[in-house]
Amino acid sequence: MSSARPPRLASWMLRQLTAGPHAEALEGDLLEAWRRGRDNGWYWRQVLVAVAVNLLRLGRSQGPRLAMAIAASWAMMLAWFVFNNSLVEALPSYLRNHPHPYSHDSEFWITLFVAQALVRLLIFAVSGAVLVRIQRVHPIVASAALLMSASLWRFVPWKLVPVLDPPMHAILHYLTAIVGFVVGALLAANFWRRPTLSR
Amino acid sequence: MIFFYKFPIMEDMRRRDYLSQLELMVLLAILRTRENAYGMSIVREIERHSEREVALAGIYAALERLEAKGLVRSERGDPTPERGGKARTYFEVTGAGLKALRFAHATFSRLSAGLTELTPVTV
Repeated sequence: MSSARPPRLASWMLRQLTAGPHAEALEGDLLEAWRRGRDNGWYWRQVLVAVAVNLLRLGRSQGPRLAMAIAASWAMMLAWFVFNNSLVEALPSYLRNHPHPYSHDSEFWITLFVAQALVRLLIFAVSGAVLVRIQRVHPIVASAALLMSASLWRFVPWKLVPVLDPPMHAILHYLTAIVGFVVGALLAANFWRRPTLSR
Repeated sequence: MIFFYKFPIMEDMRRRDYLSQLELMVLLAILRTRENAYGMSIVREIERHSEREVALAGIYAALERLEAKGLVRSERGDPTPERGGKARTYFEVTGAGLKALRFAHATFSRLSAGLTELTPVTV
């Protein structure tokens, strides 16, 4: 009987999206009640309320910290965009004035592309790590908030990300950025464990 | 500031010392369940008397506020396999909590005394 498991997604949400001094007791209480006969619907309702309560609390107590985490993460990414754009703009004229012996080889450009992708991966990994380091109580909520804040991008008149052509470049560009961010955030979340949970 | 000291009730509200209905119910449920007062037993006690489903997270949020006000203290129990290795947290009303409950109870009793609207209607 004690090996039975309540809805997995609900349990995962409970572990990831709630925090606080009694988070462990809450999780244990819900599991105990479910195993003593409360149904899945009840379990889901309790988990959704717990998540909502925690998000409200997060907004009240961690709001400035969350905003700071998002701002720091964006600052890292914007620094990359500015650096990358100025590099892309300056490189052709630089090579015209200072011809490189291999600048006509495709290998030269492939190496440059790979190096650029690696730097991008690294910068975004640091950006993810910074976000989680500052807002380590709720890393998933912070990442979701950062993702939502990206929707504000269309209101920025001075778009820093050029439309890349061909599409394969664009896919690689964004893919390395996303992979870098996720890897950085995961490593940071593992390194700096959630402080208020005694799991 | 003088305004607040002139009217202690305002000072209580400013410091959020006033007990909400849920906080009062939680304190009473802890007293009723005595030494076995943990999250689910408090929920069961309130559900039994209010005949409504209660959110456990709301109870824990109230317990955290009560702990912060010094009206309740908590103690971790032992982890059990039935709870997936998670420990229970047991709660106890402090002396200050009892005082606050007595004050609230006395105020409600005085306020409601003689009000015919509060008499239960029998059909």
